[in-house]
Amino acid sequence: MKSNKRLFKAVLLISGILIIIATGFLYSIRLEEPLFFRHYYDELISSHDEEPHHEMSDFSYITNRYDERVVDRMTFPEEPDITIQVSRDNHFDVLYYANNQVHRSGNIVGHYSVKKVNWEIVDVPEDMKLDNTLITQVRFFFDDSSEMLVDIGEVYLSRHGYNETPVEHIYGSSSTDGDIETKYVFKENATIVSVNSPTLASIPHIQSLKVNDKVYESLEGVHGEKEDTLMISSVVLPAEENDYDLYKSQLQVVFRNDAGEESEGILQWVTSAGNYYEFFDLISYIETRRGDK
Amino acid sequence: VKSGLNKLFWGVLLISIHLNLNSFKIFPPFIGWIVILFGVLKIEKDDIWKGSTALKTTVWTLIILDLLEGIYVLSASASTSSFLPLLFYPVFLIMLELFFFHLVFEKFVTYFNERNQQDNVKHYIKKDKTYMILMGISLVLTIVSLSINHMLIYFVSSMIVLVSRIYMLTVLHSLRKTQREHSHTTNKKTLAKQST
Repeated sequence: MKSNKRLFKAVLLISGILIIIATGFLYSIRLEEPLFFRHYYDELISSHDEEPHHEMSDFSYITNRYDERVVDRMTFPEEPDITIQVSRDNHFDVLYYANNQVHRSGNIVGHYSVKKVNWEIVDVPEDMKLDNTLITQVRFFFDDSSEMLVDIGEVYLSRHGYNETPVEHIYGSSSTDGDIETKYVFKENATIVSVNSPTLASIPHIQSLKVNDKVYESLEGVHGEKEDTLMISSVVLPAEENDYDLYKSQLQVVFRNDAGEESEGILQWVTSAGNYYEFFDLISYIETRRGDK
Repeated sequence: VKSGLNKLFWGVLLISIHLNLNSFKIFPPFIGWIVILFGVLKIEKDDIWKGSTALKTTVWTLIILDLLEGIYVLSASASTSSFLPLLFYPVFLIMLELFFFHLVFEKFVTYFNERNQQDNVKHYIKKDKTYMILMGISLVLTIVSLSINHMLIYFVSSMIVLVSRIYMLTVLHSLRKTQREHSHTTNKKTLAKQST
């Protein structure tokens, strides 16, 4: 029975040592405050009616697994007059309660949780000029009355109108891998004069442009005859290791028709692939970000 | 003894059954531990074990912990569930269970030793070792799974605990059998003595 007693003590000793190591590890990886990913977004605010219209967007962040706080308000300190609405619940969901619970917990990855803040701009002062206005900081207000100022990356705000463009959207498809394909048809002869997108240059992606199956290097200068098809496809390249930066780019394209009239339209979205998070990748991402500070 | 062993057997079976309705336990493990406590008391009453205070204290601890856990789960708030030391609570329960059954083995080995049944002594020392190895593996896996919140590893460790309990059931069944055979032999010897 002596050897059994030794085995019993060994089991307890190993377990005790492992618990001490594990507790130390868990304390070392705890986040003092949520860590927001870096976002590189083009945000367009249309104003064809009196009311500005902005498509719902989101910011993602990592927090501790048991942090059940949610963001219920946010502001841009650089542009405090812009009113933003944060939406945290989908009230139309039949399983509203379950959905709310999931939202509070976020996407659990090991001892972290990856959460999203859904937001939209609901009011912009009429006289405010928005032409690729750069936002680098966001102040988030949590439902426990705490708040934090975050360096969010680069968010460019622009106004655009609903103009008639010489191209008509035929179909579009997108995948969670960040592959997007969109087809347009020219309604009249037109040339693409310029393409504007502040964030496109920072997105690791491949874009292929075709007019009637003819490949073009760049959209600028592309000429299409009536009924020609314009096919744009983009593939976001795999992020570098531990790079969870988020991208959303929109091409603001200026067309000129044969009559010399210019019109502006939005042609293409390039968005990040849906990230798949691993616990240890998040730990090393957090370490890298801590080192950056 | 047989009746005490029966209680231990049914107790182990009951602690292995989990019937939950969301977080509410329809069939909480403390019922099984109460049955086990009665088993311990019965065996003690039959004067098979001497000094089973440690056994009784362990069972009482497990009963109280399970009751407290039930109350905690029903009233848990987000702030208390993040309390780090509570994360390893399942490990503590496995440790107590291992301690209890290791003591049970020890008591029976002493019992067989006193009656000079060396085959049974060797047999149950071996069984104790196997049980401790199984529970030891489960302890390590549980600590690892809780440290990285890995559901698959946690599932495997829970399965090993289940296997350990099934193993314990076979041990208790074999003890009942041994006890039965021992009673038969004793009865035969008594009858033989009476007839002479």
